[in-house]
Amino acid sequence: MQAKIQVPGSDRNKWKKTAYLLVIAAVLLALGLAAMFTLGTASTRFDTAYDNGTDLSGYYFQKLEEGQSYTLLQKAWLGIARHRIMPILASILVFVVFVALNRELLYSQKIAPYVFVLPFLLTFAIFFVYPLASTIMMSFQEITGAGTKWIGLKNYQNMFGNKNFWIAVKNSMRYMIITCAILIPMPLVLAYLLNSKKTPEKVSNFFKTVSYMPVLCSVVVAGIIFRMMFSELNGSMMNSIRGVFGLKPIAWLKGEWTSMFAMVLLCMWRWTGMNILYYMAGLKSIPNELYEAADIDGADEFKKFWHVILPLLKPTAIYVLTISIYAGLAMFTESYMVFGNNNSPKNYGLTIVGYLYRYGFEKVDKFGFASAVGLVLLVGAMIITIVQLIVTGTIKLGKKKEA
Amino acid sequence: MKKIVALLLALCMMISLTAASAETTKLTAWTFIAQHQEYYEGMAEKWNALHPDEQIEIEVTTLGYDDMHNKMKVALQSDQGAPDACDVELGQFPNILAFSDKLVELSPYIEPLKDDIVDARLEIYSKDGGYYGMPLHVGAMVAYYRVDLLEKAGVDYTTIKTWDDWYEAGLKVKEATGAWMGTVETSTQWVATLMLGQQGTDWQADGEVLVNTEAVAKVIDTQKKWLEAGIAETCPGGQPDTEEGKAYIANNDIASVIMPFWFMSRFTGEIGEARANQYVLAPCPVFEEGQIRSVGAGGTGTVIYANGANADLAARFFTYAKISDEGNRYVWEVLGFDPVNKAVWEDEALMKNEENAFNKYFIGYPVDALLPIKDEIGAMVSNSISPTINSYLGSTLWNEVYVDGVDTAEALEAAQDAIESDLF
Repeated sequence: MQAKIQVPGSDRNKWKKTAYLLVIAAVLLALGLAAMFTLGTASTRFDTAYDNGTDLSGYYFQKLEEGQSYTLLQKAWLGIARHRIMPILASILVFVVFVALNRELLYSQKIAPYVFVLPFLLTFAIFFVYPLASTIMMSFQEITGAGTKWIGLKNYQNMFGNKNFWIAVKNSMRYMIITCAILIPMPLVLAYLLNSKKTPEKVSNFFKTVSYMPVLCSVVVAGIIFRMMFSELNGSMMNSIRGVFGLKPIAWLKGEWTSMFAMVLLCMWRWTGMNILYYMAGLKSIPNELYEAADIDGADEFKKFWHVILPLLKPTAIYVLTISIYAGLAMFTESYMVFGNNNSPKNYGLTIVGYLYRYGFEKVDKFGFASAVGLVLLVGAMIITIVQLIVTGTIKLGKKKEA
Repeated sequence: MKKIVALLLALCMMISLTAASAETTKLTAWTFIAQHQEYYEGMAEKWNALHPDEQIEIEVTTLGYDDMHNKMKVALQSDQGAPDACDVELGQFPNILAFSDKLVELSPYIEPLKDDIVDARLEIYSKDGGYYGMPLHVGAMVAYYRVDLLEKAGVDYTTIKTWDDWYEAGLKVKEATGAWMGTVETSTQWVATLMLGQQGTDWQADGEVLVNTEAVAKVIDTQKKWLEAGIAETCPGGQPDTEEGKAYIANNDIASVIMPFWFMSRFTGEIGEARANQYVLAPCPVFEEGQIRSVGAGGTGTVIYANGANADLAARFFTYAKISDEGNRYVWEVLGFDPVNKAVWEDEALMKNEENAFNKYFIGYPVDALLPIKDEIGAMVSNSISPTINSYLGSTLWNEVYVDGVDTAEALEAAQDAIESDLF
């Protein structure tokens, strides 16, 4: 049994006396939103026409004949539509007044929790649920400047029948697999070495700082520097290194595997420090007693690493793997910056997101198609991640009831 | 209650503040070429001196090539946030022209000046007989020759009339100096388009892709021959107009560069003093004498956003800035482009001014390469399928034939298929 919080002068039904404020707020909100959504993309044009006093017919009402003028009601509506932000602000204001007059509502055990989660629910709905629903819808449409048209599965048929789509999938998968294969074990070993008591503190602090610094660097800056390093000119850094070994300069970014090497190296350079940080956090949480117990049992360094550290770091490793899979599949900026644009020689640098970008933004009237690409990426990444989580045992099938 | 009233008043004040707007005739413009910014600002000063009652302030924003075109497409599609004017590159023009109902039809502004302007440059920015883009230059393809290298090899550049002459000269240059005669592009098609224009064809006709043709095969085989003879190599960066390409020309001995006339400004700009007084401009070689010696390549058409608050003023200003007589003179003086107004070319006092930066940089007068080809400049067609064709050629086809050495016929067949399947 819970104790009811008693607010002085509380009257459970008092808010009903001021309920008319809620109605006013709702009407104002509806007016503002209606004006906003009916105008849609024509809003800028409408505002300009209204401000310049030019012809407004075609937006809401019939074209005016010579000498005719809008009725009072029509004029009022056009005014509201022009200043559509005002009714919305006013409705918020009225709502605030309503809450201020009924402060005890905020103490109600039924309502208060909803008030607290409201900001999250709103952002979740506006920035996640709505765009996702809209993307699903758009993927079945053809969206042109002239209007939208439902075209069924045509976007998907075009996509699966397009060679470049499969090149993009191949490149993204290849990049994801290589980066995961490198960025999971390597930072783990480095973190172990940096955390080891045998490493002098000054040395480990220095390397921690140095390895973390690239994380703070913008991909755009790093990408441009990598593009110059991997330039095919004789004087570029990578070609100079080849020169030291007596090898001839090559066109790094024009080869399938050499360009992939450039992108993977960029990824390694940037993310090793971040992953070391995750593993360090995991290592610090391993209690000292376990090491002592292992020492007493006579375990050497390797055995300790294998039987104590690795099993206890598994949750961290799974977390790193999960984000790496997604980051690998969604890679775009690295390729865009290394190649200087979204067109790479023979599409060696084309990723799924690059493919989406090409159709969504570089070509016109292909938003619907790009939405379909985005959805396929989402579903693909989700399947891979879920399979990964099942394989690593994070999601246990058939044991849901276990507490 | 007092608190609430106070709150109400405060909010009302805020709302009225945001609702108030200031009156200025500020024009906004986007461009992807930094030099254009300086140019527009200079023209705005001239405009203000001429129109004391219509003062303007131009705010030019320079963005990256892809970035600017993509932003503009989104801005037009959503009808939100577009600038008053935007410089659109020829290859991207069809994409922007898809929104012609949101752009000002410029024909009434251009009409009074039309007689002096190279027709082809207006046509490429038109739709259904209406003009939507304001041209800035012709972009005629010309050849830049390194006189010192050619002299060492005993070649007089004025005798290079055909691609065969060019090839023979290349062999001599290679033997005498070890320098490259030229470069082969892999990420774009300036030279390839020139060679197609010379054969009287294009990449497409009436919406049909014309990539797997004998004319294209001839273009590829000609350049493959250069690579095989070792007189040219594929251009670093894919083409001369890239960071790497320009560094390559500045640091290596390249006997000829076949690029549009506007590439002069890259010489005086990024390539710099290292190559001053070494290059001379001349008409391009042809396959057979009698073919046209140039095509208009590249270019920017300025579009005016019709739903902007100052669309009419913007259209009048850009007409003045880009195609008027004053504008065209300034184009030559500041940018070193070949003005669209051909009457300006004949003005010796202007074009052969010794103080002009381009006349100083190059051997002889650049305009001397332009006058003989005045009536031989072909037009490149750019329409809604061009971006798809260009994208495939620049990313795949040239790399296949020039870098990987794929058989020409095989590569062209695959290219035709791939481009057609990409057009959905």
